[in-house]
Amino acid sequence: MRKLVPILSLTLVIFAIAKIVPSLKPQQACANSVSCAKNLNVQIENDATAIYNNQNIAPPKIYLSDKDLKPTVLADSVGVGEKHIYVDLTTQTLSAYQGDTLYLKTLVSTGKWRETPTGDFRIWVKLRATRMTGGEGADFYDLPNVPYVMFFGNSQVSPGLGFSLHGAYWHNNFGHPMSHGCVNMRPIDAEKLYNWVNPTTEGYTTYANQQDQGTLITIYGKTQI
Amino acid sequence: MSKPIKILIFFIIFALLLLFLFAVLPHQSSLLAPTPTPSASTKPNTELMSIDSPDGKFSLTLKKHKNQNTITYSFFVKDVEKNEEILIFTKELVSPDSISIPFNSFSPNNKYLFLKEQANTQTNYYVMSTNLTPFKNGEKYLSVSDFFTKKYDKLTLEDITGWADPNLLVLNTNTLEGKPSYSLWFEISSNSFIQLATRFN
Repeated sequence: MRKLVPILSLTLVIFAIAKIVPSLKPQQACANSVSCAKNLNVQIENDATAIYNNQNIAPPKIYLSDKDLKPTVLADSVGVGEKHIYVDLTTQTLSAYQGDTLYLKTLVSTGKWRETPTGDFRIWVKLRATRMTGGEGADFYDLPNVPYVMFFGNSQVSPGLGFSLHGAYWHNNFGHPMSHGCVNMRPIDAEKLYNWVNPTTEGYTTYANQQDQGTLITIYGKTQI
Repeated sequence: MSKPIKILIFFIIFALLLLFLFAVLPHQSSLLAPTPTPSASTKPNTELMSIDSPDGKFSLTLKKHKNQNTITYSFFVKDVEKNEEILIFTKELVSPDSISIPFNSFSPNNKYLFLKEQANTQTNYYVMSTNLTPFKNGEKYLSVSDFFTKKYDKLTLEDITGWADPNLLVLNTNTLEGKPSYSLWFEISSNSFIQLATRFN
């Protein structure tokens, strides 16, 4: 009994430390502070109103069709080799390659109110559209029908944090940081990229898997804020 | 066959070849002319440049037509779905003055667009509606640069980068010494400026 008490006490202390220490580690912030962990599902809300900059905005209506289930990649965009997306935070530019063939190069808007993470990531799920909500006070935003969403993550940046490439219909200031961490694109560019990246679109929500790994995204540079 | 006959046959063939070139291929004659014949300018006197709206539903096309001493800049907005095109702005300038289409020209809802004019050392920005709707005083376009100059005498307008939302243009300013200063929003309907706490680099 005398030997048992110290052993039990030590076990309890170790258990307590194991529980407390992880909670002291800074929590990674979500890209969209309200919607990030709650809702990563496809959502189409054509009657909803968007709120941005304290203004009501009519989001674009989305009418799903067979084209959204299995879109076709244009023949002139197909190259040979692995697909790879590069996002340069310094120049606010996105370049998409297949092997050495450039598929798309365009201006984007990355994180202004929260940094877009740097590193190598994989797309883990694509959604035809979803709702993104976050911020507070004057910075609060509620954006239904965000189009062509490609969520990415890696071992350091959890996929559940909601960082993504997606179309942005509420501003047109590409080439300059505007977002809360995501990579905003013109909707026509986001559509083009969405139809090209892996996993190959199968329905309105497409998850990557071992047979169809998500396209690699490399984000580098430094945002000029 | 003797050598003179061979030479004669060679010259006959050569003469026939020349005749063929002149008779059958007249437009190739300039190739044989001793000096190049000046031809009409091969450069077209009309150039085109086009950009799509962010959602692809509209396009803005600039047609530059070279006149004798000037260039006419004409801007057309096309509704892609309806396949309808309208002329929304035109101006005649003397080179090197020019007008261009910024990448972020269209407002997010395609209701407005802005253009950038480089005139000597001054840069002017014009905003207009994409369907020719006049502004509140009947103007067909607003000169954002004029509004800015009247309000801010201790700043210069460095650049208008795009649209913060469907009604707000983003302006970056500099001090008179050329150092970066704060950013502004220009609100289209009220023609007013809003100073921002951050700079939109």
